[in-house]
Amino acid sequence: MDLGKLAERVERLTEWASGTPWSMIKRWEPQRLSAVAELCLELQRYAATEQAELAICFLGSAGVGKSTLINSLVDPQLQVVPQGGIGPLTAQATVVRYASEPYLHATYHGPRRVNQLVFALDRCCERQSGIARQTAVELDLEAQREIELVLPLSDAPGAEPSESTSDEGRMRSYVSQAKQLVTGRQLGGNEHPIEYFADCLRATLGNPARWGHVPLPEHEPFLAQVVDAISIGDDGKEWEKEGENRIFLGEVARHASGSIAPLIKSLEVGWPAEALRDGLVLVDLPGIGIANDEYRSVTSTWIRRATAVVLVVDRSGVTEASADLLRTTGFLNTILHRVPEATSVSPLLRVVAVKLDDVANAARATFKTLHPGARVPAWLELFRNACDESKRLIRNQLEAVFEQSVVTAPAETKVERRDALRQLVESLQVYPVSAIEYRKLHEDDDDDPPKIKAAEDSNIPALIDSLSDLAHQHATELIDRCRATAQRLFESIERALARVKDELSGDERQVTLVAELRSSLETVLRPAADELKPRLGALRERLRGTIPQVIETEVERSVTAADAGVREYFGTLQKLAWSTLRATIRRGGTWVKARPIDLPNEVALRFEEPLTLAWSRGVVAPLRKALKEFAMDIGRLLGKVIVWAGAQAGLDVAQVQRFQAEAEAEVASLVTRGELAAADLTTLAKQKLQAGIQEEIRLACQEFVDERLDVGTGVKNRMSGFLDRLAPRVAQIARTTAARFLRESYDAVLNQVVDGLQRFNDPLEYASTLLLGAHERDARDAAPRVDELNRIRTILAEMAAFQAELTE
Amino acid sequence: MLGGARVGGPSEEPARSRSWRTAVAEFGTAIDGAPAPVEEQVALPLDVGVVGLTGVGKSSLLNALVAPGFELLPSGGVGPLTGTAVRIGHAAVATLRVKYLDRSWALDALRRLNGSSVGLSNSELGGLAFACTGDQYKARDREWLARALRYALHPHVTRPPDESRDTIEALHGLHELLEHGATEHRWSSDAPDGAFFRRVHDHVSGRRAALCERVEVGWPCPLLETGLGIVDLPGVGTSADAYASRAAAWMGEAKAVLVVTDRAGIAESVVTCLRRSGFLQRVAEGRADLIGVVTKLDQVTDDLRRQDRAQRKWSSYFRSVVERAEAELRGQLGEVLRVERGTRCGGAFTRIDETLRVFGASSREHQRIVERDDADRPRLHVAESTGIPAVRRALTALARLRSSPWTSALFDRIRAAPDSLAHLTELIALVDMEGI
Repeated sequence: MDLGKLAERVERLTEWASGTPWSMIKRWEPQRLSAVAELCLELQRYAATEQAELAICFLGSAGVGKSTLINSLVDPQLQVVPQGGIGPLTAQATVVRYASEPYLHATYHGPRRVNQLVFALDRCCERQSGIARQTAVELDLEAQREIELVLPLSDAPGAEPSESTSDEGRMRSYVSQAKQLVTGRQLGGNEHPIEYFADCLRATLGNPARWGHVPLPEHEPFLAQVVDAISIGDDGKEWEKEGENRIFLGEVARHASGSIAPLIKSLEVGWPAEALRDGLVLVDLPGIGIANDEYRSVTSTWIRRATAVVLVVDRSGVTEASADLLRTTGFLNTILHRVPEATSVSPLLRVVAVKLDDVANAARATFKTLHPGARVPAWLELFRNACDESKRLIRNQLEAVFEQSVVTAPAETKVERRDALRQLVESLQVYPVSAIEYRKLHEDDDDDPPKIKAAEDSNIPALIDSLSDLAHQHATELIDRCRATAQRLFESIERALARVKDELSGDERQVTLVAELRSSLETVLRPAADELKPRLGALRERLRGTIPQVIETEVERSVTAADAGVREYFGTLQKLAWSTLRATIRRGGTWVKARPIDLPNEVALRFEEPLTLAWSRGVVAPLRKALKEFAMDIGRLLGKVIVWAGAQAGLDVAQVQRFQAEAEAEVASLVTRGELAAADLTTLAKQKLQAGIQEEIRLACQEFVDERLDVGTGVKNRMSGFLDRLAPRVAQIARTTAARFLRESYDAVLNQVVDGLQRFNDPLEYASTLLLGAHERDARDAAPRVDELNRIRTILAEMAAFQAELTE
Repeated sequence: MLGGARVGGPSEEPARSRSWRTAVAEFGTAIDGAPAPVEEQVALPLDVGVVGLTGVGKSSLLNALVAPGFELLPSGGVGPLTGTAVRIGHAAVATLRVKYLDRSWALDALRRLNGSSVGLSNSELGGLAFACTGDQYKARDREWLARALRYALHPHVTRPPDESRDTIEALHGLHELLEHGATEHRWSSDAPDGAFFRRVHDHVSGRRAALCERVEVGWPCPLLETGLGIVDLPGVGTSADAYASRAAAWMGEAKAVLVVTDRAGIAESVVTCLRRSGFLQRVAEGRADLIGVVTKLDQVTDDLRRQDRAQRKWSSYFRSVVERAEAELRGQLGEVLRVERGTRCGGAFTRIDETLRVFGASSREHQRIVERDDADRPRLHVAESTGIPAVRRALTALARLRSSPWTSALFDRIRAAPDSLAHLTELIALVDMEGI
């Protein structure tokens, strides 16, 4: 897995982790949230580009050949970073990293920096000419204070104070920066007064001259560059290589060490160099140790945060300036106090001794002087000797340098420290090289042939390999660290979710169990329901259709039968004395004498009995039968449910049994209750019937008397005729009354039954509710929690995928 | 510029027939009416110290100046090479004179090791280690060193610090020197051969370097005939180096210094060394002289030419590099001196730059020209182009001007006077006129 992939994966992982897992943990285990957050941050830090790359800072004295060395590592045929000019060349740290297409990216200091310069120059001029201070420059108070107190212009808070950063030194630095910006050169330009530079810089800001100077034509192009740079500022500008390398590299040089250098904030060059492919980033730092050099602070800032430093030295070995910088930036201490068994690449120090070809050249001359006439050793042999000597020298020097930092250690730890020191020095890798010969080998210039036959002889390839190895090792470490952190993140999430999972899986079991019971019950319930449904339908049909019809016919039959009885009774009446009969009629049908005659009652009685029979036989009996059957059906089907429930664990069968009994009893009792209700009604019906019949008879009698049919001749005959006519009249009354009241009674019963049956509309469903209702209610409540559990499962599955991806 | 005042002066023919002393005396009288001293000029020998970072090429430059074609002084090797101040003066035959360290040195060191007096600096410890073991980075353990010194003083009554043969041998050698150190040792050679040079190298940078209190080399060289002595000082600026303090010590008394830099310019540690010894102050006050030389310009030329895809001749690139380098160093030294004078920035003292004598040079190209080695052909055709002869002339001029109180005073007067640039140029041209 390469770093690009890793970064992409880590990004996806952290994005994922801050999604569902995050909200899940927040909901359930908020106390674990901070751990997850930290691990995510840690991962992101690891995967950040600047972490992924191994930036190697090249530190060395000015002019020692850092840039030359870097160029030979990057491209032996070209000078990608400017090298070899006069004076301290590299003004800003130039970062060189791999790019398939060359590019240059620069950001600039804004107008504030130029304002600072103008302010500083003004102060200088004011002091020189003894005039009072005028703040004509738009500069905030903070920036003014910075000029007055801290003054180093390069961005290095806390640069160590030394003679060169004294007041004068700072002023010199401002002046030389101003000169470089205006004239394109750091030095010289003394023919112009400082006021001139102040006014020139003012012009770039669009401000009027204060000291009355106008920029000279030869300085206009430089000032135009300044104007450009200020306007670009922090946004930065990127150049791509178009056409010749020369033009592109010229642009690089203009930024790295040319006229615009004092305004550069950051500078980065991308170059298709094989050696940089593995994430190796080379940082060309300004050389140190030069008087009046304003760039020292840039270098110390970089070293302060460097993870790997290549110390570039020449034949003299480690210079005081380099050693001091390593010491004051704390880098030495970091290296020295590094745990011996630490596996990480950084902090790390490599030393490269350059220009050892010079030593070999000088050795030839020396040999000729000291051993005239003797055969001069081969160049390569001299070079190798120089390399060996140089290694020895550098080890010794660094040991001494380190030892200085050990001296301050408490006495009891000194021995340990010295041992650590010895180990460190022994393991210190020193690469003596010849960048020049390596380059010559690639150039193949007849005028200046290389003295080595193979690239390896220059030791540059070994250095490249070593640095590439470092980059590899760094990458591997980073990947390992990322993996370990990711693993911790996984574990952290898993631990947090495990508890939730436990808690929720009880619910889930419940839900599953209930669902299983339900589906099992359904297998019993469904056929039963299918069976019950038509029965209920049949019952309804009977109650609403069949039985009322029966009532009609039964009434008709009863009336017919009663009519016959009435006629027979009337027949017996005609055998009575006609006067008795007449008296009876005159009295409205009732005459109580020796032998009481009660027409209405007698007639009613004759109707009552068959009608009662019709009720019980035609209505009550079939109703009872139907309901009983239905009750049995319910009981039977519930029995099936009970059998099923008995086979399941943990179900409350008793309730269903109770229900079964209740249902049977209830349904059965419906009839009784209907009957009871009907009994009242039948009594009422009887009364109504009687009253109706009495009224009819009385009415008929009244009519008879009113028509004076009871007097005169033929009373007896007329009375006989009267009775014959009375019978159908009574039957008709009885018929309508009975029919009406029976229907009413029936309706009352039906209502009772229907009401009662209401509860048993779906007895099976009710039974299932009894059995599972509570469980299902619980399950319904648990459902969202089960969803949550499923979400957790998804999270864990996704996590496993990430895990697999990261260990790939 | 003065650096460019190479050959001759404003008045050619008459000057040649007269001695430079007469010419200068006439010039002086003409300038400020000061009467030339009637008595014969007493030659005051002038020692010029060569100061620069370790490895910058001081010894190479010195060899090129004094003994072209020879590696008289060890140069170009690995590490700080020159272990002690080596004075090269004139002698009819090649001579090496050495005064070794004596018992008082050892006793003093021992006292300080024991902590009864002022402690020893890190570099002094290195020097001790070097004297006792031949390696300045070895054995910095104070106790070991103290035992070693005791043994070197009294090998018969004390025990060596360890039983290794190397140690015992080295300490016996030291003992011998301490016993006979008071006397000066002298070797000379009519026709200096490998053995002579090896002896010189051994005392300058070899095992004996640490044991020498004073090393002087005499060499038959016209440049030195005026009584000029050139003192090769140990390089400064190398970390934890035992020699650097010797350079600083010599600087305390210095009247003239040749500052050697490479393309990077003057190093902070060199400035510090010059400043601490009070030398810069003396230069700023006109009481001491400073000449700047930028060396190794051949390498810069290589780079520049390559960058420019070799469109012109090497020598043409070299010329422009020299010009640029001289301007830069002049500027840097000027800035340094301005600070020393307490001048606020800018214009008032621009003349410092102009009166500074600064040269760009390539010792290596000079050596190539002298050697005429087919395997390593010179890129320049005349020695003059390498810049070395110009440095020689500057040294000669300085030596001559300082060789008598009167010329010296004249020189200082002219230099200090305002608007004297033209006079100064003329004066130096007169002195230069019989240059080498």
